[in-house]
Amino acid sequence: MRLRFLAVTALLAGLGAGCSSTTAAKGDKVRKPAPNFTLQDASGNTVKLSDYKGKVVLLDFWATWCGPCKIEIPWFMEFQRKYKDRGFTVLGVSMDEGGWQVVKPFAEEYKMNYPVVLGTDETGTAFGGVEVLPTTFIIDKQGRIVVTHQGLTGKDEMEKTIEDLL
Amino acid sequence: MRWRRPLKTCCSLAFLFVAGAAAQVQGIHYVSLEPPAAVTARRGSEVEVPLRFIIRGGHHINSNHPAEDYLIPTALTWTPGALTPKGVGYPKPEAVKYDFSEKPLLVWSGGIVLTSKFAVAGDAPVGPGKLSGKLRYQACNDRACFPPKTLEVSVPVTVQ
Repeated sequence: MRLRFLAVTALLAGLGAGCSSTTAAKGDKVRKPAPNFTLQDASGNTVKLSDYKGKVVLLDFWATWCGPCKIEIPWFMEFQRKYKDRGFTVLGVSMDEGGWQVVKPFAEEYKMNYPVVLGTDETGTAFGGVEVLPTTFIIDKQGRIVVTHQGLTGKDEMEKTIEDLL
Repeated sequence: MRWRRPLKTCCSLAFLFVAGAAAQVQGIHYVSLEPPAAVTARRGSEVEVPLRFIIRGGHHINSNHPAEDYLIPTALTWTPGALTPKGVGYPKPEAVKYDFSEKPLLVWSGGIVLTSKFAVAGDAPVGPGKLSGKLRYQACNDRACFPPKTLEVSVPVTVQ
């Protein structure tokens, strides 16, 4: 109990200070369901988070104006290449106010190889208020949040979590 | 029974802490305006209004001309009123290399002074009023970025 309180305190303190932080990976019994959303991809197709149940999902909130996000995107493309055939996907949620007009050229330039949707304020709120970018959730095959990374954190740590869940 | 009161107090404090932190996160600003001095403006003249903005420790904001196209520039804009905005002077930015950027970015951190120029019409209404403006900025630290924000700016002005 004390450890959990300390973890929450550290996360909130990190949020207030605007630092990067990572929640401890949650054990199977205490994971909470990720909120579902229905958003659109660049082609206008509807994308629901619930469509990915049965897969491990790395859900990345990002924006084109976010420098640290641009460091992580190549990592995520590598994860997508490496693990997509093992029941894994990356799903990018862009929080750009400029919409597809800015996101589409960016995705093409970076040759992003995973689905990207446009997020809304409601999407951010549903996930606890995404005020820090990048914010990355790793979601298990049952659609539950296992770990949350805020700010630029470690590639190896994320990859280990993905491998453990596959 | 004796444990109930401490437990209740502890829960209340925890609730206040979490609620406070949540409110802080929702409405958080990374730039604040030092209380501006009142401005006196004479009809038919021009007046300069320097404003000092404080950027939260450990953070930076992009300059008005960032080094990269993808970055959101800082801009101070004014609503036309009794005084007509004639432009804003921005300080020289620092070139800082961050781990997340390939080349140095042109940013401001600490405190900056933005000086706005206004023309006062010869027939401007005499008396007290205010200048209303907005500072649009986007802040980051060395590990994360934060959504663009708009800080409302208000400066008391008296036209003579």
